[in-house]
Amino acid sequence: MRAPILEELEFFGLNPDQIEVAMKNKVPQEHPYFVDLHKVPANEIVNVLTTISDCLERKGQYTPFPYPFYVITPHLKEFSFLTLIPSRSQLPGHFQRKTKRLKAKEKSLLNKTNVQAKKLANLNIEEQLKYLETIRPLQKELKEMTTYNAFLEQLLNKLKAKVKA
Amino acid sequence: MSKKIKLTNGQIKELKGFEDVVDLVFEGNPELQAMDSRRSNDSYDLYTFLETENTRLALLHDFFANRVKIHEENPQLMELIEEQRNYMLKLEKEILTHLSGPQAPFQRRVSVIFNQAFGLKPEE
Repeated sequence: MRAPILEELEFFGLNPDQIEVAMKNKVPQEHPYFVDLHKVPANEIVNVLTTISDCLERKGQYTPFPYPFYVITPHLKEFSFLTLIPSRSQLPGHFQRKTKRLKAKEKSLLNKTNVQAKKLANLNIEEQLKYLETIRPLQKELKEMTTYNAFLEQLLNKLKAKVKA
Repeated sequence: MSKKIKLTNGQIKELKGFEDVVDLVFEGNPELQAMDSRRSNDSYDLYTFLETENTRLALLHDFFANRVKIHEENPQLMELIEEQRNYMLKLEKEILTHLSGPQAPFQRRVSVIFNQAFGLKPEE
């Protein structure tokens, strides 16, 4: 049983077979992983990312919950459903901790965390993310409208104050 | 100012009775000080991290299992947008009535510009 601390996935080559072997026993949604591809040249990065995303899709529907999978590359900002970041310094500090042997108290807390993570993994998050995506423009419209109305309210109050003065 | 030497509690116990010898070894009357045990012990870091992680996962579970579901079953977005649109029209109408009145700041400024442009005396 491991604490959900960020771990690096190392590829010993960039062939699809080698990437698949490196990711064979690793399930990104069960543990936070990252892969550093900053040395991969810009003309090869798309092929490597395609292989990674295919590999993740074959393991099941990928969502960044409960644990995300980070790819470090300075060449691209977005690619399919992968979370791309430009450098190691951008990795989330929350998951970066020193690994050490767990005490009894920490083990019991880790058990609770694992139960929570499994509960989250059992939900149909993919469907809900699609739903959230569909209502996003409406949410944005509502937000813009409320901001505009707040501005109008402020303007009206100023006008009323000037008329009184 | 005397120099401070930071030691662990065990090291201080070992030096008990030999404090004067320390003065001979180090210059300038050094002062022995116990190290902050919390600073050297980072076990709380992992415990705090696991607690935060537990809370994070519980909140995510609550969001996806309850909040999104409630939102999906009882959509209110269209009604809220309609309500805000009506409120916006009401506010705009009210602002226009304030701006078009004879004593409105907008009207007064326009009259000043008009009078200045045509050399008229301002109304008293």
